Amino acid sequence: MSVRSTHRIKIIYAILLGVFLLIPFVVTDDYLLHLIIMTFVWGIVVTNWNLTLGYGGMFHIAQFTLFAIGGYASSISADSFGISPWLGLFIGGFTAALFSLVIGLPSLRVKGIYLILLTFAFHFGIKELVIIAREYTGGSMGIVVPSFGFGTLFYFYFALFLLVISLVATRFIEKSFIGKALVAMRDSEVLAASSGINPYKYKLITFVTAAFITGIAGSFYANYLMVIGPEIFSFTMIVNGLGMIVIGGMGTLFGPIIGSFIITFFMETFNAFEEYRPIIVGAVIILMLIYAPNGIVTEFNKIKEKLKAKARS
Amino acid sequence: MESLLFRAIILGAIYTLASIGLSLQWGVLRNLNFSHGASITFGAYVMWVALSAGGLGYTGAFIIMILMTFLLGVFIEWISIRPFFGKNEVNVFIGTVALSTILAQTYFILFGGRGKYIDPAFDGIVQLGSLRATYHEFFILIVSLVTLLVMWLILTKTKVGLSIRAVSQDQLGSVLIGINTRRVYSITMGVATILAGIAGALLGPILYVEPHMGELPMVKAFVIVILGGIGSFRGTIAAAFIVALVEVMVGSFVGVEWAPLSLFLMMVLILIFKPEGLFGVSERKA
Repeated sequence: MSVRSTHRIKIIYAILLGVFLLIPFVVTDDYLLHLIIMTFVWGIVVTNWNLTLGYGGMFHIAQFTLFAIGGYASSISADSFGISPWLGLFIGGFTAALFSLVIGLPSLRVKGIYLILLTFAFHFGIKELVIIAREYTGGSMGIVVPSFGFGTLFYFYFALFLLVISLVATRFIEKSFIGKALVAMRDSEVLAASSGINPYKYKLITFVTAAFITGIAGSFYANYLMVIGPEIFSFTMIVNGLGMIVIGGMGTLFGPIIGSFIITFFMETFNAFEEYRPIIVGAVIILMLIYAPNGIVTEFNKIKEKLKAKARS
Repeated sequence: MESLLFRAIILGAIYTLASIGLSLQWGVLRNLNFSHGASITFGAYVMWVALSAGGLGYTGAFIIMILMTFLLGVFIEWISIRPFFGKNEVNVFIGTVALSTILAQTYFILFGGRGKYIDPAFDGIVQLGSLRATYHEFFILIVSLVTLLVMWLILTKTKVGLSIRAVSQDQLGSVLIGINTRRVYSITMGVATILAGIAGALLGPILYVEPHMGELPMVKAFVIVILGGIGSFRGTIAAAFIVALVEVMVGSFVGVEWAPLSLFLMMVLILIFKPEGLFGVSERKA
């Protein structure tokens, strides 16, 4: 990529960010703004998931575990110990990072189906733990969380801020030595290991970084909706999250956010067909996997390349 | 005490049926079907429909259930395994998980969220010394034994069974001697799903039949196949009884809510320290 084109991309990013910053002034409908905030929240979750599984090649399903841990940690600290929600955000982030170490230390040593099953066991094990610790977590009823007490505008900008941080972290890790090591490992673990890369260390660093941001997002989510319950551990959540990544494009920077936008708004537009929504989402995921496994962003790029080639000839 | 042991044996028999299909699938296709729970639920629903609406006898309902679950298994293989087979095992996971939500929601639309109750084939209670058992529990034992025996006969005596075993031992070799591996994959998934369906039909009179009924048994089936060593039949059967025993013991001595947690803890420990399982051969690199 030439210097000029990277410069052009930077300008596009700046304009995009400006457009996003202006959204609350254009969109005055509170409900629509709420949907955009939710798009951001799921965007943060799947961007960080994508960082570990799209770039890092670690296909784990512990993302919503870490999200829920972040949410529960800050909610419990506010509900049972009266700690301020601002501090709660960091408590959420650090607790999720701590748990990601506990989950990651054994899990990231294995690959494939073993990694899926191990994170699966952690996911449902922690869910059971949450239900047993009824005294703090409210069991299957969940906790009512005190909010920040700010307006929608605050939540919008905070979510946007977290989303930008997630994107910057993804881009930073991708461009750094860690990212190059991860991609090398994803493509050939043997070759990477034989050229002196310690896969485990870099995987763990990426996993914990993503978990920290995810944990903060979890606390934010609980504070924003003012409630958190064990349905956050459900299969539907995992499927929706995977759907966002698959539809947008695994291993692309903006794909997961586009997927988050599509699924969040789809869920709302088809509110009348509430019962059929999970079926449609599931079917779209399977069709995308079969016909466009690299997601919308990659397909879009392909079409762009084709048009360019045509214009040249 | 003996009633606890008896309960563990009954549970173990159902868990064997619920998990051995996964083990068979791993042996042949080298992947796991995460819509296995939806297959268990499917068996229970077909049984319920055939018994209540169809007015068929238990035998008729059972035969219809076996046919339908076989077709479901072939369908699962066709839509969510074959397109990704050999290319990307992660996509098999995403595909089968997506399919499982589609199936669960379909059950919800068709039958509603309220639990249905399947009448057991034989009603009544027997008193054997200090042991109180229902006829249905003996029915479970007999059906499980017969199913395992039939499966063993099919796998060792029929041509289809031999080709299934051949593919599980050597994929390339089977192609070379003229086995249609794609057909074997479909049939394997069909058989695995029948086993799940029978487990569902037997669970019907114990649990209420509702759209997510099969999910917990599926999760336990994963614990079992991991514990027994993925792909090992003997290991799976032994592990099914171990898991059932642990569940019953933890449930009655520590507390019912601790039983699932103890199973997940067991799964984590096994995967960390002995990923090939208690009885399996190491297949981590395969």
